Amino acid sequence: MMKRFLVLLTLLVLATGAAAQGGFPREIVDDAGRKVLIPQAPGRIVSLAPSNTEILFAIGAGDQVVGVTDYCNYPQEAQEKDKVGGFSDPNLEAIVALAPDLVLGTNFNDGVIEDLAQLGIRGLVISPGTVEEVLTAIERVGYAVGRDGEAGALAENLRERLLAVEEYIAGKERPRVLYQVWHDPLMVAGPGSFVDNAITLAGGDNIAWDAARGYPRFSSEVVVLRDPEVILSPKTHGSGAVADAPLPPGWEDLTAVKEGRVYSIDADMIARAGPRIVAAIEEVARILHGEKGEDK
Amino acid sequence: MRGKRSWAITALLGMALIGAVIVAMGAGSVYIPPGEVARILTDPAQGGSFATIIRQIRLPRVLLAALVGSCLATAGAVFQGLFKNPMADPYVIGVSSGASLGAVVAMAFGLQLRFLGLDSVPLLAFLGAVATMLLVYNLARTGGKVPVLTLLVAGVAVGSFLSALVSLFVYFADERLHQVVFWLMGGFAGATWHYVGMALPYTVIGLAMVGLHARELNVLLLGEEQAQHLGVDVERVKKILLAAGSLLTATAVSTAGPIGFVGLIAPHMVRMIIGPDHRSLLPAVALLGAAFLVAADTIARTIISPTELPVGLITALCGGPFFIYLLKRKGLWS
Repeated sequence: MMKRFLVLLTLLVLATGAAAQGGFPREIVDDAGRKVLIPQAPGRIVSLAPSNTEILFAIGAGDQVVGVTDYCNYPQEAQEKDKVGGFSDPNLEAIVALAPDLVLGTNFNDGVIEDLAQLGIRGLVISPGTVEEVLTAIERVGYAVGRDGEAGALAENLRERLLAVEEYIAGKERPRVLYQVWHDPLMVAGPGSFVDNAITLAGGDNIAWDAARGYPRFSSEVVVLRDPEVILSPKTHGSGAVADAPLPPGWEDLTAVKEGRVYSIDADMIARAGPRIVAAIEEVARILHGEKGEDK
Repeated sequence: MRGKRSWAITALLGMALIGAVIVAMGAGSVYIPPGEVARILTDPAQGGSFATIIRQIRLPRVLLAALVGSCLATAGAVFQGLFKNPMADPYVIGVSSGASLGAVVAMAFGLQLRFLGLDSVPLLAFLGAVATMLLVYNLARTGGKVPVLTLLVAGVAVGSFLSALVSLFVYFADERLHQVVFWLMGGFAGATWHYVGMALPYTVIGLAMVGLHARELNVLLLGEEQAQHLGVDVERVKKILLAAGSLLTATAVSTAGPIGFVGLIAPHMVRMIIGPDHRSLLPAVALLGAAFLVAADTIARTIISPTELPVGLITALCGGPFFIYLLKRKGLWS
């Protein structure tokens, strides 16, 4: 019995291994438009962004990762990997020293990927700009590192959960939402930002819809005028949280403030183009549409 | 030169300031007609979101911009006169670096001090500015005297050192210190009545100290020896003017962050028009600085509304070309 089980297990491992290794060399076009040929499943990956690190670990490629940035704080195991420095300014020598066979960057460190290419090190820019693109990024990373099965399953699961949120918010009134990135100067999540996309998917209307793209400075007067019903702000580790800051002048009469609907969200979850964005959307949907007083 | 013409120009600048304030109160992400503004300001019972915007957001912001503008412009005039150097600006003796370091320390360690309704950031910025001024002054003192050239060099050296410390903090700081970068750009987005309350008394004191020594500033331009012969207690006057200029700069930087350009060009503009006599120059400079910064901030918060621009961008973008135009037409006063 035991023997048969072991044989079965061995076969299974071989089969999945073969599947994972199968199909190489593979060609992939990255988000910088580069055509990259990957000769075999990479075994020494360096991730140059927290979002990429989260994707790699979520699709079971954590063991293939040899280096991450100082900002890669999730999951726990990622923190035990070798560090290659910051996000936009990683240490080139530290990367080379790890002898990676694949480096995963974003459009923030496109230049580094270029430099590495000059040194003969293969790199990919993976930069999803929307929640939908995160799901395809997961599948593409899975394809690039030979974790197609896991990546497909994860993307499928996330897609289902997004559909569930869509059903949950269907027909419900969309509250006016302000995402306050910083208080002085007032900075918000503008259109085209990840957070804006998440708020929309969670069934809210971002009151900064007409601001500049990304995370611009925003007029406090317009906040008073548009009167948000819910205010969200990032929860960061350590001090300097927006939630601890004094309320900007004139905000006492905002509906969100009077009704106590001011919440903090884990910034790493909602602003990162990683798999946890879906959990963040679920949380925001509960905040926006759950029974009053249910969350806090 | 101290005659009808300079009075007329000063009056004109005064009207320009009033005009800028009226426009600034109406303009914004949302236009509020002057009649409505007047009603809100005169009738405390008036409520609604317009009233909130005018009373709690726009009015303190416009007033703070005017105060800071007059502080920076006057400090610039004082330092240019004191150092007899057209390149001098309010930040020349490192006061803004000291203020920045104070602000950065407050942010880096998340200090939660409260004093008279003020956060730790403006408080430490103010302390940093004053401490820097004292340090530079004492470094430059040799015997009983403080040679202006030594003062200038000591100021630049200390300023560079403190700036490097600020950069070091920013470089090694994690994400939460990104706020430092915004603070270093300066601006009035965070203006509150507390800031106005903090800036007002120091502005009045600083402007008065400078104004009472306008004649001495004129005499200093002749050279220190000459001034001494003319009965001016040069070292004492230098000390007072230095303290006043630093106080004005500290007030501006701690409430609005380091805003560039106003302090450099406002004095030059006025000098090109009404000449170098500080007795007529100083009031005109203060008015121009105030009007200019109120106008610049109005542009900063309306031009791509509801997004706001840092006001320092506007001061340089608008002030620069106009200054160059004046420079070409009138030449630099010397």
